[in-house]
Amino acid sequence: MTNSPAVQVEGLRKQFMVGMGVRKRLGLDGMSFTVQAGEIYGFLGPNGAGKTTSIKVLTSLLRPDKGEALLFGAPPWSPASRKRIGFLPESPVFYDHLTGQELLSFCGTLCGMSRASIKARSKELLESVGLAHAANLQIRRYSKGMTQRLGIAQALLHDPELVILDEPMSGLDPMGRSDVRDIILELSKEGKTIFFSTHIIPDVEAICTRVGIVNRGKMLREGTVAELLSEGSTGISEVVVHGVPEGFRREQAHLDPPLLDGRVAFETPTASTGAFLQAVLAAGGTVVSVTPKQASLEDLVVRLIDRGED
Amino acid sequence: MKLRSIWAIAWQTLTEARRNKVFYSLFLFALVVVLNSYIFTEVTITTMDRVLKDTGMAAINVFAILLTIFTGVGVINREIDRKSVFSIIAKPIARFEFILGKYLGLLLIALATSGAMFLGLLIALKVYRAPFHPAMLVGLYGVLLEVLVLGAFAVLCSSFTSAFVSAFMCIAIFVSGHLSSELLVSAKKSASELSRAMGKIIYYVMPNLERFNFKYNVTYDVPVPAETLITLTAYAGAYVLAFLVAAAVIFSNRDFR
Repeated sequence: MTNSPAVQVEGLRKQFMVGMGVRKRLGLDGMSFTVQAGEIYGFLGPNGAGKTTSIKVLTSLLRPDKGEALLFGAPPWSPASRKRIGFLPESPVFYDHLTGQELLSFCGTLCGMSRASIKARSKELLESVGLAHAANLQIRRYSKGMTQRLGIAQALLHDPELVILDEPMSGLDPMGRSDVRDIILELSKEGKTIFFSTHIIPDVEAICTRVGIVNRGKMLREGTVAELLSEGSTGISEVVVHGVPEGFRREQAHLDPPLLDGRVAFETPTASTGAFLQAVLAAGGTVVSVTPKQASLEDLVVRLIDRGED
Repeated sequence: MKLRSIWAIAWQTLTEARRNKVFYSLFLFALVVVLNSYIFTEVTITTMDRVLKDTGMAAINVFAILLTIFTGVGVINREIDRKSVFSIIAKPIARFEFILGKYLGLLLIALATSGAMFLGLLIALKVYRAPFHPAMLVGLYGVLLEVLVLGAFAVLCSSFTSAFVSAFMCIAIFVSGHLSSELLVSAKKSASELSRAMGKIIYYVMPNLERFNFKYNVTYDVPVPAETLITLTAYAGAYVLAFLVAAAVIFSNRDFR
């Protein structure tokens, strides 16, 4: 049981009835992925890709038509397996008549925590998410960012092993996003597993140990950021040379403007880099560097999604 | 079953009602009792206490039922519509515990308001030096039994349909529950086979809410045998159980999109 992955999803399929039940929309189409314990896993994809639907299956809000979802080897329908997870829904809504402190007390009770541990833990968490000053304020008076922070606090209250965050940066200002990133990294240091969905690529590049790119209800690519980038070669290399004559520069298309100290950068197809280097040497120049140009994660996501590649 | 979780959900439901000013309806009740007392003191010679008692108990009945129906019909589906249910259902609780907690919360609301209204009526009786009759307690118990049944039905409706449709269904069961005997008599006289069958179904399947009506006993201070109260409690309990089991089954199989 303890060796089971934190999340294991295999061939999930979920269809929704829309428009008075006369039309069907495929929410998940064979979604499969695995999150190992201790990972920070970024679930990346455009709106409507199936990120929230997958998360809802993992948190028992939806039952799949087909396939299997497991949390630490147990199905999410069992309350015992949900005790090991903390969950922040997308754009969370809480009982707005309660104060932040009261909401945490309520959530702690549902998680089976003692009064003393609820009190101590909620004080600690409200401080760490920057809501200590608003602990006794009714949630209806919270801003969107404050509600999001409170949502993170209630997800972490019972010290879960796996934290599932659906668009945790949504509605936060740059400072708030930075704070959430810090919280995620801190949780990871404590040995927690973090699974979060987002469509903000820099967030994924900054903190994830592994990434899954999804679209149309299925997993398109999965791996570490480095692995994903390695397959994103553009087929172009940048060659920086020195001491080539003006005529050579005009003949070859070079990047504008020239670099300092007489160095000039050229872009050449990677396949014909050898011939280009020989031409540089023949023209009396010297080669400073040759760098194959890599696509960014954003380029890869756009390529996979826009061009429908899989 | 985690009783602490169920109680937490119930208490949260009561807190929500309190902070959303649901209990302001008590002021309306107080107004009805005071106006009623004033009017009947002016126009009645000998039976003022009886009129005060009867109309007071009737007001408690009406207020408790209306409050139960209109709070109960939104108790589940409002959470689904607002999506506040997402973060609760993902917690380590069983869905039937959520249903039980919500039902218990609804009962706490009804109990608190009915208790406060009854206390108000006792004060009014004291002010007008009208005697207290023990049968009034039986009358109150009848109201609470009816609230138990209607509350469970409201929670059932709320678990699968909108507040508007739920309210319509609750009013329908309230009306048919009070008229089921009359409906059966009329249906028996009907020439239509379908009408006769419908009359029988309503009579035997739907709760006969008129059985919880102790108006006669309250008015004339006629005691009710303990066996009758026990039977009626079991009768109400059976309907509550059936409605809540149905609500739990429906809610447990629901998807939250």
